[in-house]
Amino acid sequence: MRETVAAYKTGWMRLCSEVMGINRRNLELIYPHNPRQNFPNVDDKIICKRLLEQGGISVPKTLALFDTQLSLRQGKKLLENLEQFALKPNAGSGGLGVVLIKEKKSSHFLCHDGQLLSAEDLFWHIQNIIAGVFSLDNLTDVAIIEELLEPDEDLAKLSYKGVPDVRIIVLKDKPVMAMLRLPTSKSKGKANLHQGALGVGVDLETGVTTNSIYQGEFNTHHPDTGMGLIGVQIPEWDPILEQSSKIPALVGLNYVGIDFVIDRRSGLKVLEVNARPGLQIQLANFKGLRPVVQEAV
Amino acid sequence: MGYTFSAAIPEESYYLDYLIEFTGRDSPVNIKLALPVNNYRQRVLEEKVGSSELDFSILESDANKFGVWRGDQVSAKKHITYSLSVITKYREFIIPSDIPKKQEIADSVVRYLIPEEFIQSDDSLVRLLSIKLGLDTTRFLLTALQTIYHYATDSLEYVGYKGTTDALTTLKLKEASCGGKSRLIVALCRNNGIPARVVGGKILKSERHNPSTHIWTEVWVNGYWVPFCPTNSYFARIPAHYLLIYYGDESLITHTKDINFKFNFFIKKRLISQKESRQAFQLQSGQAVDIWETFKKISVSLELLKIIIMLPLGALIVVLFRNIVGLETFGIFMPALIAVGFRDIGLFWGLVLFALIISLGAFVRWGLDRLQLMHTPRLAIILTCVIIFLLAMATFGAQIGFLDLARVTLFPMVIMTLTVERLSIIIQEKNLLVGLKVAANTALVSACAYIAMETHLFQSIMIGFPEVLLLVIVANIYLGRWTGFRLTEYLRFKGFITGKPETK
Repeated sequence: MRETVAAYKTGWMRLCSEVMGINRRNLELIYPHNPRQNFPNVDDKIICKRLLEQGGISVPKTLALFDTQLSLRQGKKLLENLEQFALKPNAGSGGLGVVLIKEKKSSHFLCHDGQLLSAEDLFWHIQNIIAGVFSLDNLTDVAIIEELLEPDEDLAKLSYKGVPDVRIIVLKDKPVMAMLRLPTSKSKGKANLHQGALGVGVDLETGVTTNSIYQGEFNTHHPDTGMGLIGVQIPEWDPILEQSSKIPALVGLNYVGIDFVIDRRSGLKVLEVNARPGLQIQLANFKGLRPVVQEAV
Repeated sequence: MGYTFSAAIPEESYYLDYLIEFTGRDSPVNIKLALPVNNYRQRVLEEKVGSSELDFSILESDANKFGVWRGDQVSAKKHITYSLSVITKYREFIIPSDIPKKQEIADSVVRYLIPEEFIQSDDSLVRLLSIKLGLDTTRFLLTALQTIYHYATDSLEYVGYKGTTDALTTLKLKEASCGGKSRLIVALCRNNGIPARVVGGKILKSERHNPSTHIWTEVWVNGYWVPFCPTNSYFARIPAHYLLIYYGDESLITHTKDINFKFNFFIKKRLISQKESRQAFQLQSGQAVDIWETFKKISVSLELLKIIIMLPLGALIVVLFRNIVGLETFGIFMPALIAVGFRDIGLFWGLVLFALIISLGAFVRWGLDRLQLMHTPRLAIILTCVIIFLLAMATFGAQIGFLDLARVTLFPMVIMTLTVERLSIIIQEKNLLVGLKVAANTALVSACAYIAMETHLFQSIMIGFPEVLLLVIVANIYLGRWTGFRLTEYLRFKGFITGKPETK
């Protein structure tokens, strides 16, 4: 009993001195390190891709852009000829509005979560994206069609459908924390923690997983695949760290979260850069951000 | 700055509705309603008659004023409303102890010494009580009044009788409601040669539906009618929330029988500037810098100004909930704006309506999904449905005479539409549970913002001293620089406290 109380007390002290909350993140990291005028460099995925490519970072290939109803009509044919692709709102965040099409089944599109969409369903979703339903500011938006990445075999084994990714938080040119995000049946194949994906903490030095959380609780095995999640080596770890440290300068923001996908055929790709990366990564690593941030500054 | 604190604090006024409903049976209908008039402590401001095809006239008799509605052949259900604003004030009288019990009686008040049907001041039992109380030997008016008043407050039990209890019955039973107590006081006064009368009116309590009236007394002292209320213990004083409607043993309402007559009061407290109040009483205005006056010149209503000036406080409540508690709500300031919508219908019905509208809206939105419409036209349809629903509620409310509901047309429709849309997206993208959670958070924050914005103390301070808005800014600066955890984050990061399972 006394031991438990003492452990809780230590935990509480750690929470209060090491863990970063939203208010502190906004005031001490985002506002001073990320100039407002550079937010569009990452919030707008089209601009972001261009900046990254110019800096020699590989990103998923854009297949088509739809920004008006007219271009949609013209692009209808193109869409029907694609076997697999990812559909995203350009200004969306948190994985909202993203649809991944795995394969074409006659006139229907099979999603990564097993749902079958008719061409009409898909076009309506595109229209919604264009109308700004999923955009941050609810203004009109652009729908991006890009190549569908296929996860690296080792990581795919760990994951339930969808595409797992590696989130690295970088301050200036130093990676400060890392996490592997694994889709689950709960997250419907998405890699977003708020939607129910697994967050697996990764040791920055070695790229080996150390700890895992699912829905805010610690766990050790994937709830769907049953695979052990601790002690897994992330492939391509050194290139991931190397590329991470280059990206802040490319987008003009000094505190960002970068999502990497290791594609089976084409290797390392940056899926997204986030100017307001979430804080759940701390729980996934069982480690607060404040000491590592202090070191980096 | 040349003005005092008290001069800038706004005063209270009341908005009062008489609500009448009856059903005519193709026969003549006659309804007579006592209406409040101005006196030394109350001012009636904006009187409005709203009624059906009945003839309306004002009848003045003595000091009283009656509204009379007449119709020769009235059929079907009819409504009559009579609304007014009143400013009522607290008044206290000091009765000099040397005024003799036997005053010089003016001709005009002689009739207030004569017995009436329910005030049997000449009855032998009243006489006997008078002697028992020692009133015969009392020389001074003040002592006599104190004796009578204390007899009524201490020796008579309060029982909520219905109907009229006369003075004699009260004396025998030693218990009565306000009317019986007051009539016995008047009878004792008259028995001792002191002119006195009962008066009737309404105790003003905000937002209450209550058809009951209150009766208290007035005693003629040195040419003044001094109020006494034995029921609620006011000796020679009258509180601000008493509205006098008629003098003498009158009835509030008399009406034709068998017309399924229903009556209710609707009362709402409002703030009014001191200057306005002074003007109503034709007194000299104070020195206060009054922003109300400035805005009145450009025809901005005081109610609107009140909403505007209270909104920053509502926004501050939202800030507290977002940055300190960490609750997710629909939109950033939507809760504060929804709270403004609650003003007209009150918190309870506001929350009910909020729940009804967003569930109806989400249902409509779900149905529209099948039509695969584009964003903006879809929003326009949801807006239209929200409006149709509000109109239906208003009509329904008016039909059943439930005026709270009839006021819903002012509910913020566009805000509700956007709320519906956000709820639908959350339900689609996450799940119903998350959507309901955010909806509940929004309702909670709206309710808190409403309570803060409707608190009279805060309203008085904000309107009396708009400079307080600067303090609101200071509070926001403080909160804006606060780096502590949000309360919900303790829950989110509780894993750090409990530790990993294997390390336990």
